[in-house]
Amino acid sequence: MRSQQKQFFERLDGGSLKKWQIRKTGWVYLIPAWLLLLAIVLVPMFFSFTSSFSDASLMNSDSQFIGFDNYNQIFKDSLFWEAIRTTVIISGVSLFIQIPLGFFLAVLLNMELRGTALLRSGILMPLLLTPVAVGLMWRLMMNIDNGVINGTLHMFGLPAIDWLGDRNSAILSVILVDSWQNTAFVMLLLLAGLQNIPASPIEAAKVDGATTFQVYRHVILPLLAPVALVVVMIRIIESIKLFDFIYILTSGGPGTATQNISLLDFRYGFTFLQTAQAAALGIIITLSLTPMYLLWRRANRI
Amino acid sequence: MNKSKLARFSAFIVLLFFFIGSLFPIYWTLLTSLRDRLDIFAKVPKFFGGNLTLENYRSVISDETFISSLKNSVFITVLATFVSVLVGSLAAYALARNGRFKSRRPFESWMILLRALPGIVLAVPLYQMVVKLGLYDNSWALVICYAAINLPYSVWLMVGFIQGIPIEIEESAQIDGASQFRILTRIILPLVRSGLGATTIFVAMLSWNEYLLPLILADEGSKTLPVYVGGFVTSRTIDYGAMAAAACLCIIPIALVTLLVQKQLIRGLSLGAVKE
Amino acid sequence: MKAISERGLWSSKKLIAAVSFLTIAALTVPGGAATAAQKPSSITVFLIPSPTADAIKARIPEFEKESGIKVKTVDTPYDSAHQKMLLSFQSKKGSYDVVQFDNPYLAPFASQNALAPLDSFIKASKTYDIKDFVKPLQEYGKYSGKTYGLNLSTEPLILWYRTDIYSKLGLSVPKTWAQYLENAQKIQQSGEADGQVIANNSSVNSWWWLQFVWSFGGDLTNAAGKVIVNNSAAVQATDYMKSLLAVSPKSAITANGDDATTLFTTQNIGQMINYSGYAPVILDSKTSKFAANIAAAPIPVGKADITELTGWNIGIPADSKKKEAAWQFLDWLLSKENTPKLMEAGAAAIGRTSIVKNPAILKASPYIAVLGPASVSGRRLPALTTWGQISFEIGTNVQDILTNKTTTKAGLDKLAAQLANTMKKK
Repeated sequence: MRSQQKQFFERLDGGSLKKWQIRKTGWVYLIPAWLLLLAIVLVPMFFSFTSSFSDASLMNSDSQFIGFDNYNQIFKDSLFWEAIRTTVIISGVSLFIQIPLGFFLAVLLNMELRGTALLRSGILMPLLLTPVAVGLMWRLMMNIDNGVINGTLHMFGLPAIDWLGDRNSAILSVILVDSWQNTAFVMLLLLAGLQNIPASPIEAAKVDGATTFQVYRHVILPLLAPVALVVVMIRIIESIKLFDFIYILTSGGPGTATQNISLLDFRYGFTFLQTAQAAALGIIITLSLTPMYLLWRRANRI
Repeated sequence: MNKSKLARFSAFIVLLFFFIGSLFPIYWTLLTSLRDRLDIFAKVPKFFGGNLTLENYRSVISDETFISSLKNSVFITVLATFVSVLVGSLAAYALARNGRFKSRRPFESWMILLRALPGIVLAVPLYQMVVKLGLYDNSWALVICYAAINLPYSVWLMVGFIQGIPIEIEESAQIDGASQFRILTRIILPLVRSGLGATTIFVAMLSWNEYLLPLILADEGSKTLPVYVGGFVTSRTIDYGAMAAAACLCIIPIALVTLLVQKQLIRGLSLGAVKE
Repeated sequence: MKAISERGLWSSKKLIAAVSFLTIAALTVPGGAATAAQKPSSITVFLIPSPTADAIKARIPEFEKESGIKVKTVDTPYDSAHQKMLLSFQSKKGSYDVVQFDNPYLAPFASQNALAPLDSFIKASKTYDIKDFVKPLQEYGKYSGKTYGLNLSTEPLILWYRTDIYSKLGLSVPKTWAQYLENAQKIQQSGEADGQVIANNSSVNSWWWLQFVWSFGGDLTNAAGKVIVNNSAAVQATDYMKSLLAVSPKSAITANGDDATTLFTTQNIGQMINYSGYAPVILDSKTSKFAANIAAAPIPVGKADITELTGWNIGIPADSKKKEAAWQFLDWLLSKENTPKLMEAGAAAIGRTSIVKNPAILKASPYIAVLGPASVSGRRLPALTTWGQISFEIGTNVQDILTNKTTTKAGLDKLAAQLANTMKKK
């Protein structure tokens, strides 16, 4: 088993292709992507970057260069550190729930039981609901007085939970809604990843007498790794950017209990009208993800 | 065989549990859309029945802003998804294969970090650019914007899927004299159908539900459904019934697309798929 | 086409269908601003979803007929409306000719001269009659002595109460905050209902908090400009707000203005302090379970008799290229003669003296009688460019106090430090 597997993996990795041919045409394939990104993301990002060194805001039209003032102010702002803490908690716990759960569901769905298509479609539905509706409906359901969740608990004789009014349960509520929506995303992509895996190495391993667990550990998971790593990276990024429904569900409250870093950025830009400060925070967020991103690159052998 | 049957049965039960959990809030949205304001806030929740009314749907469907938002959303999402996945797949192919060689392309891999920028930071300079170019409230401008911001994801998801295809397949095709483009379209893409389908669904979803960009870069002409639904949060009251009706109507097109594309997810490659 | 068909998603049939659909869509979907040709005599009105905005839209056809000016409207949800307006003003493209805005944004707008002063228009008008407003309302849209916004609605904080609960428990309309609390406690103890409800959500509680602070004799700053939000008056006011929680429904801690109204109209609650602008929801039996048994009264007083005044303003952006036509619209919409018609179309009440003393209107909507005295003792929210941040800082700190994360004095001290910092900015 080991030598056959080894051969298989070696073949995935480079090989004797005409390198120069791929390199030449590969460059052309990247042009459209480059153009789009340049126009819509890179240029605005550059403007944001330069404005982060000014005092530009929505409150006045002329702005002046102020160097690193915005950045210093952010690091001195207790709101910033609170938001980091909140983001780490919310994103950390969410990831911890969504990735394993999504994988688990993907494995189950891959078993192709009866009714699988229907079940899969149903589990995907939360991803499709528009963000405003997600926030408003969950807010409605989680209302401590007349929400359906507490109403149901009451029916079973259980005590009501202050989903949105208690600092700790508010964080749990955010994690709950996020997982409700995004476990499906993880499931969707890992399922596709599982189905992408060719049958031959698995059959080979089975022929060699491997147990299911060993098949997963030595064959499936390594082949799933590229997709899985992208999924994890995407979830980390999206989780940090979580904003739409938190804003509606809790407004970052009670107090600032559920205010994550993206919501704080929105506050800087739209509530305080300080667009330059918002830009600075955006740059900080993007840069701070760099270590994680580098790790991901290493894992992906790029 | 009993053990396997038991395993399959328990798997089914677990899936059913998540199925119900996932759908319950959607069901509740549907119920809310069929109720009037007093019933929506009733202290004791009614899970079924009660006074149902189609008034909310009537008022939403007869609203011409809803119709135009729907048209805009469909137009923008379809085009943006198509562009994003197409451009992304091309770029992904180059990266998936090139990346293995000594000549790295570090910049394209930074791409995914771009997605980490909070929307508000991008939206303000984009607004200024768009207004200067006279493209404010323009559906085509929104298509390009959506395609671009989702590009990092479509690229890197496809990279992940393409990397799962052994390179020996390409090798043998090259030996047979196939051009790069033929290899990509005739061999690689069919093999990653599942991944292509999943990426398309994901990008379509992100585009369909995009809220901040159309809010800032459009007024009435290119208003999309998420912004339309947001309009029910007036500054005096939230019309939950009508909002829920609009949200339910909003789900239908994207759900249809997802179901259609999902068919591609089922059957895998000619090399076979993983089965338990 | 075979290569594409192998992608699986696009069989040739589907492809043809998709292309035809897209072609049709491209022809019917508007390209946007470029194709919507603007004739010389047409204006664009920027509205924020609200009953007043709906009423304006209802009145537009009549204006178009009378004046020959076409009116196009644009809707933007409150949370991003003012920011969008600011972005538009800064771009100086003249996209909007008339803008509806909330009074707290008067300062950021006017301080950068983004709005056109309206005083000369008002003076020249024979139909507007600004003297029909009491002094506080005449000042409502003024910044640095110039008028930048007309009054589009007058919405003071008032007392809403359940007449049936009052009569059952033998309560009378409270004139002071102490009486208000007493009433609430009696109602709560009777088990009939919760005592009262206000909005405590951190995004809006600053509005209520400021009312209490003013009533108890305090303010944001003293005459010298020093921040005094941690003085004894403010501490008393905050403690009072805290004591109200004990006689509120449990969800009041996260309730915003709309939630409070929803609670008041669908659950048994005896009293509410909320804006008069919620009247349509409160008094309509289709949206309010207890519509027949609700009445309004002026807000209780404390050491000071001050009523917080809020409401929409409407003005003309400085970069508009059609100011004359824009004024023509405003003058027609809000003239002394036409304001009642706007209100009949569903708009929130406007506090013209001719309206609040109009017998016919009072007969149809008794609550409007409260607007008269409320306006006389009316005071608008601080006209500060940094109000957005101030409101946020008040909101989060007050909610920390209300949820017992910190004591009143400690929380207010923290707030004072933050506000001192914020108010230094321009």
